[in-house]
Amino acid sequence: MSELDTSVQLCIFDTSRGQSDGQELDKILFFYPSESPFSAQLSLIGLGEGIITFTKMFSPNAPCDIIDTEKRSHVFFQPEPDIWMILVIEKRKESGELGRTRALQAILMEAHGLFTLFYGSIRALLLNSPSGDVARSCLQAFLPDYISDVMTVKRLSMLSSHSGLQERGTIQMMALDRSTALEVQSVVDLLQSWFGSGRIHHTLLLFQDLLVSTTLPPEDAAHLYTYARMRLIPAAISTSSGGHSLKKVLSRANSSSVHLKASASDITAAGQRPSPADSSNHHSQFFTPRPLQHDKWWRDNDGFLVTDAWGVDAQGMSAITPTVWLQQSSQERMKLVAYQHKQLTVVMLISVMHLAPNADGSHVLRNQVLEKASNKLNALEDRLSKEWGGINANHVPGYRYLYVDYDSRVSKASPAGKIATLTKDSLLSLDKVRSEIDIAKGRCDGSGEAQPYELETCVRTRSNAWVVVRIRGNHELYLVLERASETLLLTAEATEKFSRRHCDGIFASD
Amino acid sequence: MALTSSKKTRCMGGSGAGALSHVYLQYPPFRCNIPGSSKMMYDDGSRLLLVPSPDKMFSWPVARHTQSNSPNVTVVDNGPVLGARFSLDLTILAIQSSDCEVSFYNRESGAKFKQLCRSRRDRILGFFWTDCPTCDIVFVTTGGLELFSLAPRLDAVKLVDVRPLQVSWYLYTHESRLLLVASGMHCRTFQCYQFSAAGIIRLPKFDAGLKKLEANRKVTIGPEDVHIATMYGRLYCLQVDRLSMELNIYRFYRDAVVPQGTIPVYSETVAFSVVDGVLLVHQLASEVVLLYAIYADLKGPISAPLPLLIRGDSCFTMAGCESSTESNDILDNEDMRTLASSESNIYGENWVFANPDIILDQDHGIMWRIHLDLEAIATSSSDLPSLLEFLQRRRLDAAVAKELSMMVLCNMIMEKRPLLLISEAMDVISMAYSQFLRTRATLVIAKQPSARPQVPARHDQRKKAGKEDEKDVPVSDCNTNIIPECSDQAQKQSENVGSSKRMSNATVEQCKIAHEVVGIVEETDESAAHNKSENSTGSPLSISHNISLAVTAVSPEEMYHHVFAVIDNETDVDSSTLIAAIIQYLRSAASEKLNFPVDLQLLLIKLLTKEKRYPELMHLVRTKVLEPSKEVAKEMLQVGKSYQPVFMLGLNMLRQLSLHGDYLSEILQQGRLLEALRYARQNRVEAIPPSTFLELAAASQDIQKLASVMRFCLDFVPSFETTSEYQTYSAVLSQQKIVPA
Repeated sequence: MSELDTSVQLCIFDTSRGQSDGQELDKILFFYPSESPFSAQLSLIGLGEGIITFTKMFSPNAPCDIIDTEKRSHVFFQPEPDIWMILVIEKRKESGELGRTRALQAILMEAHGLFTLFYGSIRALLLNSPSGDVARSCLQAFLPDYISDVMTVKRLSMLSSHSGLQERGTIQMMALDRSTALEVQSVVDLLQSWFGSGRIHHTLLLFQDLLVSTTLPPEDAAHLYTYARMRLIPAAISTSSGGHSLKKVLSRANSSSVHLKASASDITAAGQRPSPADSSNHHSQFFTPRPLQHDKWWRDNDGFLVTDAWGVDAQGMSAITPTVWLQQSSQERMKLVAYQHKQLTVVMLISVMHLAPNADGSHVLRNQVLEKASNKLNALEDRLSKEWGGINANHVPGYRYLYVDYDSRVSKASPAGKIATLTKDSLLSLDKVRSEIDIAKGRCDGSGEAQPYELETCVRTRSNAWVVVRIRGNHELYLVLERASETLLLTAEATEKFSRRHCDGIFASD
Repeated sequence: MALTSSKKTRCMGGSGAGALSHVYLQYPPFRCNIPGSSKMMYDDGSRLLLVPSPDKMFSWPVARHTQSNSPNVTVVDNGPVLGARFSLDLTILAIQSSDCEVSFYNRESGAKFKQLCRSRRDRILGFFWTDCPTCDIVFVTTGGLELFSLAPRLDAVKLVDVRPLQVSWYLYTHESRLLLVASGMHCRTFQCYQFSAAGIIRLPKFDAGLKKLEANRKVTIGPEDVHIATMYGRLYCLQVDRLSMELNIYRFYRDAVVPQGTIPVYSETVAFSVVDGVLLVHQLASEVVLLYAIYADLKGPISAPLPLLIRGDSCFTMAGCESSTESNDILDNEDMRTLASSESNIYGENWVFANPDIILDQDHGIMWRIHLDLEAIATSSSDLPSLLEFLQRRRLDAAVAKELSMMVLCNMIMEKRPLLLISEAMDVISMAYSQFLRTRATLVIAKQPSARPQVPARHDQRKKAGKEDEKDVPVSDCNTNIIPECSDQAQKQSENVGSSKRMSNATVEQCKIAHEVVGIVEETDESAAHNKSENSTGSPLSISHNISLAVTAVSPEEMYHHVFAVIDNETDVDSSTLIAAIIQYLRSAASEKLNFPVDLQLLLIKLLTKEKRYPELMHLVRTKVLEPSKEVAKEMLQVGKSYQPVFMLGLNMLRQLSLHGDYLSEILQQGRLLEALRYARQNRVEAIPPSTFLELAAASQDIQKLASVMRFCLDFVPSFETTSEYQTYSAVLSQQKIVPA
């Protein structure tokens, strides 16, 4: 126990559960690290709940964001009514500041967004299974993988150093010219038309890690895009076992189900008992998929991506096609099928409802795509790779910038390599300015004003750099000009110029 | 699309009404009732129908719809007429009166002269006039070619050149300027010359392709087995292999004759016509016609074999008679009777198929012209993209073809054909339109130097360089320009089957189409010339061709008005299908760099809104598929009432377009008063009077806001203190004890 690493802790609890004495443990839905003694878990939740209740008295809608102490930071996030996530991070001298609260909350938001993408909302899981077992096993299957991806102190501190010009949970689009955009749209339409009448409900097209096109509403698109970037794009899929056979899939599948974390094993073991009656509609009851498990996606010989993270079918013949829940568009469960050619990844969502029970539509789709679409997709990949401006395509000389459009959840920023050239002082100043603005925005959100929020700020840092912020409603622009002009006027001019050229003049100052 | 109902087709000649056909003979035919004449000749060089009588030569100009008006008469010497042709400027009539002699009659001066062939041993097989620079008339004799030119005073011809050659028989069409000479024991070796404006080009020899050589050993090939066809400005040789029932097709290039493949024939005897570039293979034994559109590659027939029918349609009779009803009566009562049952005998024994689309019925003195029934072809065709390609290539009946094209598109979308088909169809349409644009551009350039004085007489032409006289040389220069392309390049082109691949050869193709159209223009000019001559003889005008009618290409605006808007107006249309179709069209239009009509963009916005596909709509705006324009911006503002981000996008578009007034009124409607003032000052908008701002500020019940607006007006509106508004609103403010100084 003394070896337990508590530098990062994450807990999820439901304040509506375990109201009576002695039932407190029932509140806890998830705790990381899972080996923590219950006493430690309960004390953290007790503290959190206390603070929430207390701050609610002053601000009922947005009770508490963070508790900042000398040694630790407690970041609060409420993803669903009565459901709270608390992220505790140990401060270390060498890692410096942790960065903006909003950036840390964005991590929690992303974790929750991805979770709902694969399992539906936590509340829905709790309603379906009041004991909470299903919700717990799902969280247990998902979050440890996510944490290992994102939330180590090392990673967090690395993130914080650049996070000023990054926005988690947004989509990076590939810049397309008109005719390529139409070409893409046309291929997407063709794809959808080939597979019956609209049974491919949505598509998401990525080139490398950039989004090319999607038919999904912004929020769902952002979640799926995040997942695709984490696990599906060419750089993320498992290269070690390219062209492996089904047997390998099987053997991996068997081992993976055993591989689940020890603390959750009792739950999973119970769930794994095959119950033929409702296995068709709730296979999560007997197998909890681990969508974020590492090295679980391969590219098949025919270009399709396969995974056994969702288990294998009853006969053990093939891997089960992953399913996702769309929150924004239809609240529907969709099968996820992905095809990859070189740098192009096509994620197709097929409505489960439109498929005959037990029929796996993905096989039909695979044949259709191979037969008809592969040529088109290959040609498209060619065209996109010609049009792709390279890793520094978004670089604007002289500027380090972040442009976020929260309407479409799209962001555009200087390439990471270029952001890294900024001095620490500039980044720190930017981070401070952003935190201030986060607070101001939070106040504005609360006031319920109908008019779009507008803001213009120009700050000169100690090292004579300029930090410029412009906000127009749901569009935000952050600029850092290090070797820019000396005067405020010239800085404003440079900002105008940037706005005209790269943001369609949205941030023009009147 | 009421095209079908407008058709008033009568079927005659023994076939029942409603019988199907893809090609038909236009009723009434042209008749010549010259007593004592036994023979009709079609001179394709001068486009005259020649009918000799013992001492006269009657000639009628043959336009697309020829009338039986009084002929031109040329008095000639009594004697046999083996062959007759007018010179290309119609001044000199040449008649081959024997094996070794050709007589010339100058119609204007009345001068007469004769020319014997050079050697007594040779027989003259025939002759033709040419517009090539080296000579005016060519005799084809058994011993070779004799090239003559006219003396300056047009009273004699003088031998210019001799090309010794063993000739069994020959073929010549003026359209192609191509002479094909058959030689060898079984006439299986062909030698071709082209007498083009650029000079005489000798093409490589080639042998007739015959399979089953054993059985074919003794078969001699006759002129009836070979045909020179000009299709889409390209020259082909068609040669029938009777034993294997195949038709071998060769294409001529300057330096090669390239076999293009074979198509099967289903009759011992076949005849050929070419109508508007479409090859008609008349299977005489089975009395059906097969149609082939030979363009990039050799495909099967474009339609099922159907018989040739005779049809009269009312719009035709209108051209001949004053009142259409009257003409119908005449047609029914008189003309019907006059077409005896023997005359309506399709594929009669004495039918002569003249190049390219004329049929002479020697027995009855009737000249028919073959027409394509585009509508029937369109109805029976199942491969719609190919059909559209076919329709877009029509030059005659272009208006019909265009209307049919749009109808086919409409039906494709409404019947929810596979999107890939629709996509291909859109490619065809956009490609055809951009080619039309490029052609028009080249035509405009070509027309400009034509301010030079026209060359008055044709025989003077050769003194000028051929290239100078683009305007004056009809179809020839399209041919001469086709021929010189190198065979390997051309072969490449023939391999280019896919429509997308064809793009790479766009330039080659472009000049080709250009020449095709030049050909049309010339035809127009020529028919105008014919009209003039008809006028002089007091005959009614035939239908005059108009270049604007000769356009099948469908512009983006027409696509909107006649296809997409039409479908949108239908009640039970699936919006998503229509959206997908529009996207496909825009894609094809974008790849051809065509403009997107604003109406079409608005329709797309409307449809996407109907389907609540806002994110896609915004994506299309961001990628400039929906171009910034006032109309689009307004539509977005309208749509944005139910989806805020779209509204913002529309608002920003107004701003980008510097439509200050519209932008201001929008943000004022939102109550963004101070922002509006800032904007008005920044962009020097003076159209909106101060009172508007003041009224809005007063209406907001926000006294601070009113004060701000007052302050602004005082600071920036000249002599604001003197206006009545100042009085009014300062009174309001003073009540609140806030008085701006």
